[in-house]
Amino acid sequence: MRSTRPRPPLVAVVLLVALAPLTGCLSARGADGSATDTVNAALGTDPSTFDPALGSASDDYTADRLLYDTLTRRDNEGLAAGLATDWEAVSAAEFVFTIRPGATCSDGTPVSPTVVADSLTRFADPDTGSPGRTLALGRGEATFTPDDEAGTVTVELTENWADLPIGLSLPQTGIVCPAGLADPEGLAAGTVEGAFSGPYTLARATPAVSYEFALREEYDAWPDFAEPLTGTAPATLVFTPYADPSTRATQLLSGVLDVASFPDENIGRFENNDSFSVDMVHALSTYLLFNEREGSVFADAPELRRAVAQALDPEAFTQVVTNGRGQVLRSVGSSALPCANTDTSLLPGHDPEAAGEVLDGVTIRFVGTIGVDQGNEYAAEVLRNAGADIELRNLDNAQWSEITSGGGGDWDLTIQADFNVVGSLPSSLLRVMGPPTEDGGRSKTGADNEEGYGALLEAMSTTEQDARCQALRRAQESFLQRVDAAPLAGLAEASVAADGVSIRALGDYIDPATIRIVG
Amino acid sequence: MTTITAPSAAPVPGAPASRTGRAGAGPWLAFARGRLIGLAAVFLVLLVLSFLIVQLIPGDPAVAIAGPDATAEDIAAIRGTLGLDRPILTQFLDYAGGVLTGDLGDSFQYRQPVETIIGNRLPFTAVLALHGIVVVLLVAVPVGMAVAIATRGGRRRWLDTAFGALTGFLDSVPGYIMATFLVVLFASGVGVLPLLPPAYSPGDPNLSLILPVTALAVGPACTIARVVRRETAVVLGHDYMRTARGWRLRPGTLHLKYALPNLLTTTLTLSGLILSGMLGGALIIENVFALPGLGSGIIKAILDRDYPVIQGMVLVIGMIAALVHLVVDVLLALVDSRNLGGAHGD
Repeated sequence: MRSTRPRPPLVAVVLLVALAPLTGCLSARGADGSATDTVNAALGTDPSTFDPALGSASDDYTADRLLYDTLTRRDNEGLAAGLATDWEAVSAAEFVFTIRPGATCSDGTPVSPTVVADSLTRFADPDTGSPGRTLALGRGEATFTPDDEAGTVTVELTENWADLPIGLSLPQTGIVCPAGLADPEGLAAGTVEGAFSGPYTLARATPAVSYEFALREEYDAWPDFAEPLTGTAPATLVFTPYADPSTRATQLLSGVLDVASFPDENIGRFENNDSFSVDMVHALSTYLLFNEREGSVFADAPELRRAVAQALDPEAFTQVVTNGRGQVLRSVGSSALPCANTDTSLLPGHDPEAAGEVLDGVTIRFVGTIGVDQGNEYAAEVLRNAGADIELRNLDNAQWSEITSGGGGDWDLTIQADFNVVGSLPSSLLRVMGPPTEDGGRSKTGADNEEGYGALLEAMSTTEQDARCQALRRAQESFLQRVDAAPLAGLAEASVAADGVSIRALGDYIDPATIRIVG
Repeated sequence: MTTITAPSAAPVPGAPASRTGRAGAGPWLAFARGRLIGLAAVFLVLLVLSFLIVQLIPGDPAVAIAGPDATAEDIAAIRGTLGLDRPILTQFLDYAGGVLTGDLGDSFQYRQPVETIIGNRLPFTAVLALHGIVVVLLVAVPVGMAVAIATRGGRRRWLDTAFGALTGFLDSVPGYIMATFLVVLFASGVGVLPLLPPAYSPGDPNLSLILPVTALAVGPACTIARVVRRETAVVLGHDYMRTARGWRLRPGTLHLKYALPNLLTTTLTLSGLILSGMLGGALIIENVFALPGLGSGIIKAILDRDYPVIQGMVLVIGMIAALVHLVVDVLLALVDSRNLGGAHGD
């Protein structure tokens, strides 16, 4: 969209003349600064697959969101209509979705209830191996029954999961058209032209170099956001992977990019800069998470867990890891999540003296992900100051995930960095209660918290908002009092768009399908 | 550093001689046979090492692929799909068999052939490295020679001191600082040079290459310039050069015809090492300038535990380095046939 900024002409001419022989010819890309219908945006890394069901990282979700529509969409306040214009909860285990009439696949095939049901049936199939299955549908089995005449799909679950409408806003639940279902390998490679139900098709994919998405001319199934989108959807979206946020920021500042997001101090390069709009989200939550399995020092040791939590000041931690841009948490998810705890009296509180009395001489095996290495180092030093003997290992995500999800007793403590892609509290609560990872669940603590998990299940068995919130508050109260985990900081991520381009952050979710050319 | 015995390595004025003409075909055949055996040995070592290296990397590729929300069953299924549950020997035989038939396997992350992944990245690194080495040679050799000539016999000591200080300083600046400095000064700051545009094709010559090539070339250019300056000073002190000067040969003829050939052995050898290092991946430069080359690719592959891509890149980068050294050896042999025996400067 934007092009390189005007250069001082005399110096430029001299340099061009002097250096042209070296480079062969000169670049004219966007030299006149004219508006185009192309927007250049950044990815953190390459999407690992274009099969939405198999997406497992934020860059996968970015591509999926553009290529495949979901039944519901995240909005600022709750959900917006996506491919489903309406939905009704018969119970917490049965939902009826009315499919948007007139929606089509990229090969012209109508997106009928049967198409939707077939796609979701594949998503729900354990053999598909979608990492989003339990987040969207819970732990039970799901049956999808289409009624093409009525234009509806009925979803029946064997276990209550009141979050189903929210779950079906996950990019992984994106509707794959019949052509894609018939060619799973092509679907994963993004080469099936008729697979897409979303606003864009994948025009070109060159791993490590760029991904080009082309707007479908006939597409008319834009979601019904409470605040309608303004501007024009770009005809072409070019996403380039930039692993280093500083490089990404430089590219954006120099006009090479139009849109990018930043999780670190690079945010400061755009604050108070009138040429850019900045939207802040806090979808990544951090909290102390204790391993309570046999072999860990924290097994059956609530007072020790409390002492660790008391040693750390969440406000200081937030300052350290986010330079003050983050959010001090009161639960395992963002305060913006519905029913999130706001009661500070449930928290252990910052009491270094009390912590020191318990922690003195205790050896703690602390494993951390390099994603929050500053926070790990800070927490380790604080605990050392409190008298604990800290063995810190800062690992990359793969190693860290393998150890903390492995179900073993070979680690004691971690700072969990949880990307709440669903936008619902239960997905984060399941990290600290319920079935442990070694049993196919999500809980990394291995804690046997029947009371808390019971409250969580109760919340998932009602579609009545007040009752659901009451149950979720009991679940949070339970894990906070047991100190299975201790909230720290919601990390800030800034979505930055240059003048002339906009992108919407909806309920702590940066939606790439809302990129628009404005002005 | 000097490895020459000047009178026999350089043409003596008035006594034309062909250094390679007398060698005949025999030494070249032996040279070719030796180098081919060497290449084959390098290939086999790389084949085994590239496989073993990935086994030593801690972390499970299936976990990296599955993501944070995967269950133990999902991870086990992925391990089976990737073939990671097979015995190590079986995996190695499959890998070696594939490589020998030109198949480097499929990327765990991208689900595309490794050849495609490398093919996407190699042109960026190649363009950067080849431009870089050309700039290095075009700058370093003339500058190094000019300084040596200007300071011959202890003249202009200030120039020698300034040259040493400046090249020493520039050579000591870390790549990421040099690259960032250039970006801040010329791209973000004054704005006279652009950064690479999105979806840049490495086949398109572009002014945006100036900054990354400069950042890549500054350090090596200083290194080679210092070496050339020293080598030139030594050559200029040889008797045959004094004789040539006594014959009042023109400076151009004197230095280009009689001094330069004696610098080439060291310069080319060092340039070959630098070029293979550049082709092996200039990670910092690629990162700062958003070039998706091999350097950033191999780091990403390691973080992703993408075994086939790591293996493929190690193999390709290793073979490229071996081929660069082979080309340098051939050039050295063409310059001085005594190098056919591998004992430079004999």
